[in-house]
Amino acid sequence: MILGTSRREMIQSLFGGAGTMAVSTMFGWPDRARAAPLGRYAGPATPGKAKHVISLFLYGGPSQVDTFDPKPALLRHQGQRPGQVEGFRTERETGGLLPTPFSFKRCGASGIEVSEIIPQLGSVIDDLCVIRSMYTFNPTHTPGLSLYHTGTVLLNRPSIGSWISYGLGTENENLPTFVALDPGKLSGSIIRSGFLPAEHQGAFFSDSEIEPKKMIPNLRNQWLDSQTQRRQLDALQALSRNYSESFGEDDYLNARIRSFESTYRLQAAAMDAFDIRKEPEAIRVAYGAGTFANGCLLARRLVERGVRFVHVGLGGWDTHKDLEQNYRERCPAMDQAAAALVRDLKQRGLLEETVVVWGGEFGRTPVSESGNGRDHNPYGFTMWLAGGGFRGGLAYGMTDEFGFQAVKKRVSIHDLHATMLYALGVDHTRLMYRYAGRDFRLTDVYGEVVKEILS
Amino acid sequence: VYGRISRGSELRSGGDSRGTSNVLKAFDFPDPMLSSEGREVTVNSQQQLFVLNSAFMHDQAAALAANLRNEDGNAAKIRGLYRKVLARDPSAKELDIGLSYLADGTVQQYAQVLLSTNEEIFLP
Repeated sequence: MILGTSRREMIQSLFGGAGTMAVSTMFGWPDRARAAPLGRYAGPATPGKAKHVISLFLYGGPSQVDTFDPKPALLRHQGQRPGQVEGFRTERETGGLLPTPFSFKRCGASGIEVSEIIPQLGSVIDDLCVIRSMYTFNPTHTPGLSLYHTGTVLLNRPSIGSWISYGLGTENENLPTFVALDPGKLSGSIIRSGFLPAEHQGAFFSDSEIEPKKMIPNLRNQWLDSQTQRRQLDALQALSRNYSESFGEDDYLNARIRSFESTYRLQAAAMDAFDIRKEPEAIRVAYGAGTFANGCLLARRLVERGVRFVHVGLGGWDTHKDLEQNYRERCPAMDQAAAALVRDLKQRGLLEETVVVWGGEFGRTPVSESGNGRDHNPYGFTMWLAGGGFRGGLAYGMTDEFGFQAVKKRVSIHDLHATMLYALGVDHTRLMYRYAGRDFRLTDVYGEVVKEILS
Repeated sequence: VYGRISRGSELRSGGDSRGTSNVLKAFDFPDPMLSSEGREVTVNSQQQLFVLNSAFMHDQAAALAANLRNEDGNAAKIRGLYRKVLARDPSAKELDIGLSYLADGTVQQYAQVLLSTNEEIFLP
């Protein structure tokens, strides 16, 4: 009897209905809910060994010609319209070519030129893989943002974080697999699980708070101790399973049963994992002050504890005017925190298994808008990656002489997604989900792995 | 849990500048500023934290328990809870699960359990 029966059936046969609850309490968790969501990627493993991703996302679109893509021709042709650039088009009314107000300097052993406005990132350039030939397909924020995170402008597809959570599963059952940190409102595309199972949605927390109890609403119960709550949960799970037996398997109900278990454990785990005040003073100082610094440091703590994908958002890069003043105010904190993150991961030996990716939904025009700003530009812009098998100290691809359009070794957003998945051991053509009568991929029918940017 | 569904008038319960309450947001209420064909369905820890720990759930459970003060015996209290929360009677098995809980727990705690079921939270 014992060999031919599952543990649950045996317990039920011995104790009757209520036995399920009582005995599962004795053993810890109910067995069904205990099974962690495993990675569902079943394709062949690529050589990529990365396990985690930290996505530093600069809403609004940072400017390439003021940061990582020097264009001296802008000064020579200042104020002129770049008539010879093929396909030249801007969204709003724009003026002549606007040279950058910042000087560029060769950095590191690789000698890649980086703007003076981001000196800390310049100092870690030998760990950065700078892609100067990124392009995407839409010049407007909402669809651009959706393309960046989901590979499509349609607002119902899963984000890259959800795909990775689905494909690779969890390494820490006490924490969400996919966390998004942002001080304000978060756009749906960033955390959307879409048609993927509901538990792969990103868990969104505000990094404007640093106390876990304030950052995560309702983290603690003021009235019940954890044992009482455990009993409540056991009863609830018993009711849910009973319910599920009466109408059959349901992904959504199963997800909720699992979510209750992980949430119960999250209450204790988050008090530690989400508390950056537990970091030594020197580390806090290295990252700097402000929400982005807190977000970057928290991202490192979470990755260290096995979270798969952490999104850290920073707004304010939509500089249609007053670019110089804006960058002088905004760049130092971003620069310091992003560079500190790369250094910190490296020192801990985590950089090899963590992909850090930096960018915005598009770049900006080399021509001026409102005299001293720049318009949206999806035709050519810069992103960088660090760690996770990406080649540091590499400047890959080229834009035209003014930095308007990617012209050499062009990398589309789908190519980048394909390459990131490759770095994580996943063949992007084999990570699929069947929905609405066909198989879907993060890269849909697009995407070429760019092997030259991997070491 | 969804309470009153009137877009843009939930500021009192601690919403954002667009007027969506945090509770509604946690349960996938569409952004009042965007057109939306329907609610996306998600399962996340914030929802479960709300159900387990929020003052709202605590208060509702306390009110239910107070309401059942005059019911005689645990079986009657459980039946009363099912009628008030789920508008039906418990099955024999459900009654059994409830009675085991009440052997060593309070009606208020069990009211919260029932309020947390999928059947209640996602009442169509």
